[in-house]
Parts: sequence; C-alpha cells; structure tokens
Amino acid sequence: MKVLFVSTYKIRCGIASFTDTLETLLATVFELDVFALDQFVMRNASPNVSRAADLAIKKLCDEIIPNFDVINLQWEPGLLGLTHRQILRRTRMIFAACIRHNKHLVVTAHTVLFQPEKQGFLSAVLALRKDRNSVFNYIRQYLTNYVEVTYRLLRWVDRKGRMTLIAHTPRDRRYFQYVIGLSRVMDHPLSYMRAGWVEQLVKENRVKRQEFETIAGKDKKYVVVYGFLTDYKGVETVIQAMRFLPDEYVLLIYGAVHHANFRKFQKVNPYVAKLMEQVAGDREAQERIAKIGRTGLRETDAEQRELFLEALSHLHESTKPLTDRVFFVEAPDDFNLARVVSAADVCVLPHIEVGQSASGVASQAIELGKRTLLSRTRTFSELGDYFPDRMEFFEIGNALQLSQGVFRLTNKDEIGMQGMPYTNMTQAQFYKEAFQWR
Amino acid sequence: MEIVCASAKPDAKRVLIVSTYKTRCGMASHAEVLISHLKDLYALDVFPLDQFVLRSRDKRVNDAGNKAIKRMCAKLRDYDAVILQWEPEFWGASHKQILKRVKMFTQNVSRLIFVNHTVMSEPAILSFNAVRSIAGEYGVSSAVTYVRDAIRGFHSRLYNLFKAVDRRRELTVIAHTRRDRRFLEMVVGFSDVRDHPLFHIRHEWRDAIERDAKAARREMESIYGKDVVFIATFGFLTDHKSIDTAVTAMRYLPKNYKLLIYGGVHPNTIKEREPVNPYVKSLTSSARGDVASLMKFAPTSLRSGSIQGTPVTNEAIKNIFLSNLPVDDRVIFMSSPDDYEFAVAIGACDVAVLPYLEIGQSASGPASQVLELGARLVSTTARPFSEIDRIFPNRISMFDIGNYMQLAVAIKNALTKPKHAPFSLEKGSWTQRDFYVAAIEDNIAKASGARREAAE
Repeated sequence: MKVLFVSTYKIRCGIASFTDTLETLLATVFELDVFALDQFVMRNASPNVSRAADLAIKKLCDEIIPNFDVINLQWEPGLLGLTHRQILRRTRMIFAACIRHNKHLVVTAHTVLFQPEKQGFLSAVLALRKDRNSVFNYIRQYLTNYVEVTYRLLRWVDRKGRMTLIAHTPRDRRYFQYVIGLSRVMDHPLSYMRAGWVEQLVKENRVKRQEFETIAGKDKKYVVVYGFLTDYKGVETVIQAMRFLPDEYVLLIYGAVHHANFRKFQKVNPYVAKLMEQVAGDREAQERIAKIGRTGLRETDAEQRELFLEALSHLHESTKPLTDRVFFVEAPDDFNLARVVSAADVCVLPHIEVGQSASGVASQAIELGKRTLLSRTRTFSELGDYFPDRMEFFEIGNALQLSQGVFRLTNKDEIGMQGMPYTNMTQAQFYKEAFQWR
Repeated sequence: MEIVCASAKPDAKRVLIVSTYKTRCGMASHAEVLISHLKDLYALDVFPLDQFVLRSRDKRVNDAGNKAIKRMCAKLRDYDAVILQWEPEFWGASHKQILKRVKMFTQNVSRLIFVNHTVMSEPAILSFNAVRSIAGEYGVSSAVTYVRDAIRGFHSRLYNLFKAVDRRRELTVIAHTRRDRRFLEMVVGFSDVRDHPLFHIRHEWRDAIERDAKAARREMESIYGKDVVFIATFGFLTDHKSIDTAVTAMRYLPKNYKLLIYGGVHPNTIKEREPVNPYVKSLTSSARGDVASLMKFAPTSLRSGSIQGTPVTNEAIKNIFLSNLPVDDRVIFMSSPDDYEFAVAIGACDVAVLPYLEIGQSASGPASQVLELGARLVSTTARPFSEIDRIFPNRISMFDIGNYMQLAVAIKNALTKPKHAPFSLEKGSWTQRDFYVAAIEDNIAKASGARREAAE
C-alpha cells in the first residue's frame, strides 16, 4: 500500500517532527512518500508567490495523488496558507482531488477550531428591527466564516469520499464525531518517539547525565523544563518553586524564544527578561538584610531575637539570587530533547491554560516513564485519562505545591516503562489500522 | 452513548443503572459503588449520561442525544429493574430538552428505583421584585424562564412524570437524608420512599484499604518525619470549601502539625491565560505570610519597643511575628486524589478537617466516608454535617464556620480521642448494599403483584 504524507518536512516544527516519527515507525509496513509544504512559499501573501504555491498544490492533486492509495494530511490549517482564502482554496483542492480519484484521505487534526457562537436564523430575522443588516450578516457568516466553511469541507469529503479523522484527545474525538458529525473518527495520544530511540536513550543516559553534572554540579537532583519560552509556558512558576526546595535541587531550562517572536532591535525578549529577574532575586531586600547583619541585634531579648532571626532567614531564602541553581541551557533538537528528558530526575510542564488541544512534549516524558509533574490544564488532564497514575498534577501557577510535588516524587522510585498503555509502537499499530480501511 | 455491560452474570436478574459513568463527578462514583456491591447478585448494565452530548445546545448533537435516549428506552422492558440516579440537569441543557427526554424515559420504564441526589422545589413566591432583579442580573431570557417555571412548574411537572410511574405501582423512591425523605413523601406525595445515608466504600476495597493506608502513612512519615501530626482537608479548591480557615489555624498549632490539602481547582473554573487561580493564590499567600512587611519596622521596633511611634509590649511584637511568619513548610498541597486514593488518604491521616461553608447541600459524601473509615473528623456546623451528626452522635468535633481559633482547639481535642475501628458504624456501605437489594426486590415483587391484580 502506498501512503503519501502531506506535511511540513525536515524543518523545526512540531508537525514536521511528527511526520518524521510516523515515517520511521511505518517504513517497514507501507511504501511512504512525503509531499513537503514549503512554508516560505505557502505562507506568503504576495500574488506571484501565492500563484506558485497554488500551482504546486495543483500538481500534487493532478499528478501525485493518483499514484497513492492513502493520503495522510497533517492538518494544521496555517501550514497551507497565510490568509483564510488561501487556506480554504488549497484545502478544497486537496479534498476534491481525493474525492475525484477515490483515494482514502486520513486527516490528522493538530488543531481543533471551535465553532463561533451561532445565532439562529429566526433570531436574525427578529433582530432586523435593531440592525438592518442582521439577516445579511447571518447569510454571510454561513457562507464565508472560516471555521464554518472548513468544517463544511470536512463533512463534504466525509459524505462524498472516504475519510478518517484522527484526533489526539478523547474530547476532540467526541467533538468531531458529535458536533461536526463525521463518521470515522479515531483517537490516540501523540508520540514523538522514533523507532529504535528507546534502546538508544537507555544506552546514552550516562553521557547526558555527565553533561548535567558539568553544567550544574555533581550529586544534584536535576529538574528539567523544556519548550519554547513564551508567556503561557509558566516557567516562572518553576523558578519560584526552587526557592522552596533544598539546595541540591537544580533547574535546567531547555528552550529558547520562538522565531516568530523575534522583534527587530529588541535587546531582550520581555519574557526572558522576566525570568532572569526572577532568578536574580530581590537586590534591595538583600541589601537590607546585609545592613541588619552589620548593625546587629544587641538590645533585644532572647525570644524576640529568635523570632526575628527566623523572619530574617525566611526573607533571605525568598529574595536571594538563584544563579547557582537555575540554568538556561539550550534549545535541543528532537533527539537531544528526548535524551534530556530521559536523563532528568523530574520533568515539569508548568503551562497555563490556553485552550491547546494536545501536547506531544508532555507525553514524551510520560512515555519514558519519568517522574512527571503537569499543571492541571485541560490538555494535560486529558492525558491523565490516557495514562492513569503515571504523572502528578499541580494547580496552574501554584509554586508551593509544585515544590512539594517535586520533593515527594524524588523520594519515590521512577515508574519506568513497564505496562505503558500507549507508546510509539501502539501509535504505529493505530496508524496501520487507520490506513488499512475497506 | 450506548448501554454498556458492567458485569455479566447469566441467569441472574437484569438491572440497568442510568447515571453518569466513568467521569469525575459524585454521581459517577456512586454508580461505581453500587456496581461493585451489586455485581455478585445481578447482571448489571449501565446507560452512561454523556454530559458532552446531552448538555449541548448544538442541534446536531441534540438530535444525537435524543436518538441515544430513544434507543435506550426501546430496551428498557428487557430489564427486571432500572436504577435511575436523578439529577435533572444531567438530562439536557434546557428545561424543554429535559422534560422531553425524561417523559420519553418514564413512559417506557417499568420497575424503577428513583435515587434522588437533588430534591427540587418551586420558587416560593412569584414576586415582581424577584423577576426584576433576575432580569437585571442574568438577562431577560432567564427572567422569562423563571416566570414560566413558576407558573407552569418545571419541577412539579418533572415529579408528575414520575408520579405516573408510581400510580402503576412500579416506583420505589430513595433519598439520602430524613429531611429529603419527608419532603418527597409529604410534599411531592410518592407512596414508597426510603432513606439511607450515602456511603462510598466499594466492595473490593475493604481488605486492601487498611493495608494501603498503613503503607501511605509510612511513606508520608519517611518524607516528612516520624513525629508529625497529619491533618487533612479534602475537596475542590473553591471559596465555599473555605480551606483558608484551616491554613490560618496552622499558626495556632504546634510546629509538628502539618496540613495536607487534597484536591485541585475544579476543571470548569480554569480560565484561559490565567497565571494562577485567585483562590489558590490567596491560599499560598496566606501560608507564606508577609515577612517583607515585618522587615520594614522590625529592626527599629525591636530596639525602641514601638511600632510607628506607638509603644507596644514584647507580647504584641511576638504576636505580630507569629501572624506574619510563613507556615508554608507546614501547608502541603497534595494532588487531587481519585476515589480510592481519597479513601486511603483518610485512613493515613490523623485528623480529617472539613471546613466547608453552608451552601444548601443536604448530605456530604466526604463526611460519611471519613466516619465509615473510623477517622477523627473535625467539621463546621454547616447543615450536611449536622445531619450526619444526628445520625451518628458524638463522632464529629464541630466548630463554627470560619472560626480558625476554635478549629485549632477542636483539632487538639479530637487528637485526644482514639480512632474508631473502620467499618464500625451501625450503617455503612454494606448496609447500603442490603438497602438497595431490598429496594430492588420489593420493587419487583410490588410491580408483579400490581400486574397480577390488573390481570385478575
């Protein structure tokens, strides 16, 4: 059976990594090929480049798709174009080609677009008195709204051709099944582990561990956070939590600012500046403590003195710099990231809620059987249903709870990889089933 | 949404449980308890009330929900008895939806065990001011719903549907407190109403629970030290659980007392792009105290004996320090436990504290679970706890809502008493099992008697 992936390829992007993963996992079973979506060409508004992109898609539809049995579209709408019109036009072209040539289309949904609140036609008519355009707006929204049209396209392929939609959480599956009304929807958590990685990681664990030791010192407990440094990653919570933990706990931050967030002439990214400030501590308070230390506490009675010293030490703990315990390391590639995760003592994903649908990075730590601490966002809670009892949660932004969780977990053994309900191998099996239909 | 088999048992009587299932909600866990206790006696099936499908306003999903209920109704006659876990909101998003679906259900059901988790009464008086304030606060459409329900009586229409089953003599009603039973008997007018407090210990836990609690205790001691007194609170972190009372009380307790907070923020209250939930923030900041503010006046005041010019005694200074120093090493957030971990945590701690505010609930699941497992319980005087105190006197140490000083004393007092043996109450999960078996058997006998009479 010949399978064509339509996806980004060999670039730094989560979806390219995922396609790469599937390629290594399924190479022995199917004949695979990838149609790479060049992001420079696809995401360009200028007319001549846009025309070139359209031509590329047309070539895909007319010449390439007929040669394959299954078309797997890694569906993140933004990959197909910059403007809504571009995206919809190209999506329609690909869908139409699959129907025309009667090919099985497998859509892997990386993003779930939630439908906007819709008013009924009747209330639009009733609103005519207030707003003369209400009925017109209703019809226009029905015909041109991006999300509406996207899902109409999906239903169209579902009805006319053969389509399977793959979601990454049970919630998304139910959304596509019941709300969008598609007939064949399946779900499996994302896994980024390539074939053969697990054995390699176990072998190389020692090397990475030595790297940790050169960065942060020997005999430490290594807490790791990873991912792009943007507002919603919540890394500041972990830095705060370090203040509640004993000195042998060190934090290694593997991540960098995303290219899309670079600004011209910006000296430092505001989020990075905020993190650095947290690590540097409160200089003013430190100076005050130093001053008290110099003048001394001669005239107080013993009990008061003790209380005051206790308060002083608390203040010192909460304001001292953490430069010897928090390290900004680097942004690793996929395999290096897996090595970091597998060598760490505790992996923390402190994201705040942004309505993301699935997280591949979180399942990576769980899949390797690491001690994993996740903030209780909806995305991570869904993961909890897939991997029960294999991770601990803390409330979004609760640094105190996070520190206590880290402390508890490091006093326990690692869970290990035995009895893992979902792995890259189950993912391979899952895609095999998805592709082989009818 | 299809009927799923919970335990197959050929040639036993067939019972269908209609409830939420395998989700995080009190009713779903009660359904699990029933299944674990009844599966030796009956062939059990479950019809899960999928909230995602049933509570949607989208037309397509709405139709899917109606169809699923219709399919279920067609199969109702195959069962010897049906247990309905009743919470009206679980059947639809609007009153119209709920009425339509429940009507479909009651018309087709025979031999129904009607388990009331909520007792509903109509809005008392239809006053102009009430309508105006609802319209102002929630919008005109809410006010219209309110008036329509008050006139046509949404709740009594629902109860009337069930009374039709009662008239066929095929209905047994179950309540969880005596007060609810009296309401259902006297106000609604059902003929066969029984009550039993709610218990949550599953059948298969009984042997494992003590062993696991001991192991959990050992683990806690290995992490936090041997001579520590563990105080535990349970419940979602929301305002009305009032966990902050317990946090403040820690300042008035010796240093080897540690507070374990089991539970997290309710999934529905998580907001997008909110760095930290406000209630969680208030809890942590109350645990962390305010050392920085102490520093501002401390060095001078300690020497001159005055704060901002006002002379104070040594005692006052000490108190200020005590109320501002951090207790964060003694307030420990545990992650939210599932049903079994919750039971194990109760067994492992020294005192369970439930500092909940009054919110009009009539029964409390956690309280009955703590008592059944024989742990020491300190709770507020809110109504659900008073109800339980009336059933099992002298088992709860009570304090007034929000009074953290009294709470500190109550915890110390409770610790002077010994723990009770687990499962030593005269009522519990096992009497609850017998109670349900009796209800099912009586119901079947009653219904077949009624049919025989009708045939004669």
